[in-house]
Amino acid sequence: MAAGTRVPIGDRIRTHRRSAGLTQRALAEAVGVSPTYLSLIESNKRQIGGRLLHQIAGELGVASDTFTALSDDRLAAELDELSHRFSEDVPQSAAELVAFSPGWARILLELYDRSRNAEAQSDHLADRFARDPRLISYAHDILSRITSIRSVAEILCDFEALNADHRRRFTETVASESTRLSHVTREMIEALHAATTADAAGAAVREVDVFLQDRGYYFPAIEAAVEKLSPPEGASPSARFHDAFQRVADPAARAIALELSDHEFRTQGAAERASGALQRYAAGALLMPYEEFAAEAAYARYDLDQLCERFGASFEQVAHRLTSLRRPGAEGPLFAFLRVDPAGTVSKRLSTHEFRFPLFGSCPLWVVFEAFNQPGRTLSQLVDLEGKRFLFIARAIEKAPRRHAQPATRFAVMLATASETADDIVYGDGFHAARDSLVTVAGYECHSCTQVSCTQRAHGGRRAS
Amino acid sequence: MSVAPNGRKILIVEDEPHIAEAISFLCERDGIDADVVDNGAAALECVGRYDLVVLDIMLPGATGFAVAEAALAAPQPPKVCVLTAKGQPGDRARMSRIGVNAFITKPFSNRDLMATIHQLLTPT
Repeated sequence: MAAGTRVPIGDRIRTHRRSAGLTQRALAEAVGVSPTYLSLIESNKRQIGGRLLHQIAGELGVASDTFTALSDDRLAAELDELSHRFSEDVPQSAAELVAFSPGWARILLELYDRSRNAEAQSDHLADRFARDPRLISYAHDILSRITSIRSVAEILCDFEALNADHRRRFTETVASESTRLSHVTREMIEALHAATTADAAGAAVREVDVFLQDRGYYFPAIEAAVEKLSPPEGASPSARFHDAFQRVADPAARAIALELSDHEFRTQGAAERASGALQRYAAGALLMPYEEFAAEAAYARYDLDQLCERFGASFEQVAHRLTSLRRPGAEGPLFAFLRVDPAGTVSKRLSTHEFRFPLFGSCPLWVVFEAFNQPGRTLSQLVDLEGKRFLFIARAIEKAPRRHAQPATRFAVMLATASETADDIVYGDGFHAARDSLVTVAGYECHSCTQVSCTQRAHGGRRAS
Repeated sequence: MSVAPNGRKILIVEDEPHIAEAISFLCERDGIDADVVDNGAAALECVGRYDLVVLDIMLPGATGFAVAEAALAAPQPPKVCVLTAKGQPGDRARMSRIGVNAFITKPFSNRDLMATIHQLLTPT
């Protein structure tokens, strides 16, 4: 996967111009540029923005952000990732495909997503049938019932001269075994249904992540709805967050409903999950008000420990809030966010156009996994990913058990930002003196990785282009 | 179906009573003397006294694999036919390693089962 695959604006303009039935000359005249200049723009040989982009959008009858849509960049990056799973020789670049045929690109990804989900579900079920004692017992029970019914039914058919006693006993066996078979089959289906429901929950998590990501993880209406509320109270970060969550429930409800109203969620439970995520966003906005937080964060050079102390928030809450500093004119560094458990399962990922987490998997060389070995420490890492450098910041977090003898819940949280911003961030300081010698050459995930000599490689990978 | 040679005895080791009863009935119809036990521990005590042992793999007391190993280690080992709900390659490899003579995957047809039993009871 390429870091920050972007769909060229020129390709998008050409696609929309053709859809509108306009020639290059006609559009050029309408916006007051020469056809040659428009041709250079459409060939991605000239960068444009501002007034001219606005004018072109107006002539084509589309919103000006159509040409810079984050969702298309995500589509292109994800298609790029999936292309490397199937072929070394991709006939068309993902960005071109999205620019020319965004509908087909979406369908392709949707199909891939569904096939991956079906594959994961079938692997999961096969694994459960091999390991889950309850399912093994059900399968054995069902086969035993079928065996006895088949054997006894064949006897009843094949031996016409059976005595009355045998005929009665075998007929009763067919009846009783059939009843038992239907019971055990129903129980097994219920057990499998529970597993399928859990899988659907995983798909909903991903759909909500994509929704938040496509909106740039900044919701001005929600920020405005909570900025006048009184600050939350509580003795601990979780108590304060809980209090904030309660306080924003009514004031932010309308803004949240508006944000959700123009988005169609496909997966069962995704809309409710998105609503919950936006409510937590609102709580975060109340706990860490935008202007104050952005100013303090810049002053502290994004030192998360200082910000935790200053706002009485947890590491994860602060890390999450840092990803939302996207207010036009008051942006912070662009942070991508990842949360994994000790088994490497990703429970939250928010990519940016600069850094996109892979759809599936991750790289074991990322510092987020080392964070589990060094609890209580905030770790940093300068990483080279396919020639582009990123600063990673990670820390393991632990949620206390709710009951005696229950294990604590452990995750590690990681922020990723382009190395160009490292000078503004306290965690980048250590890498100033000897950046090259301290850099970790890593990948996104093994399928698309070009580091053939990596000792952590789990899959084949691809040739470096 | 041909009748097995006289004097040959088989042991059916099966914890599902309806399956055991059906096999026992089929053997009786073919003139084969069959005893039934419903657990591995009971089978281990008497397994060496039979010409053929037809046994399930998932048994209480001791697994079918343990019973098969004990039977085949007897001074005059019987033939062993395993009835299994498991068709996994790992199980087949294990049965071959132990030296099991035949295995039949559940659910089986009576015709296939009895053909195998007759074949194993025929002196070579």
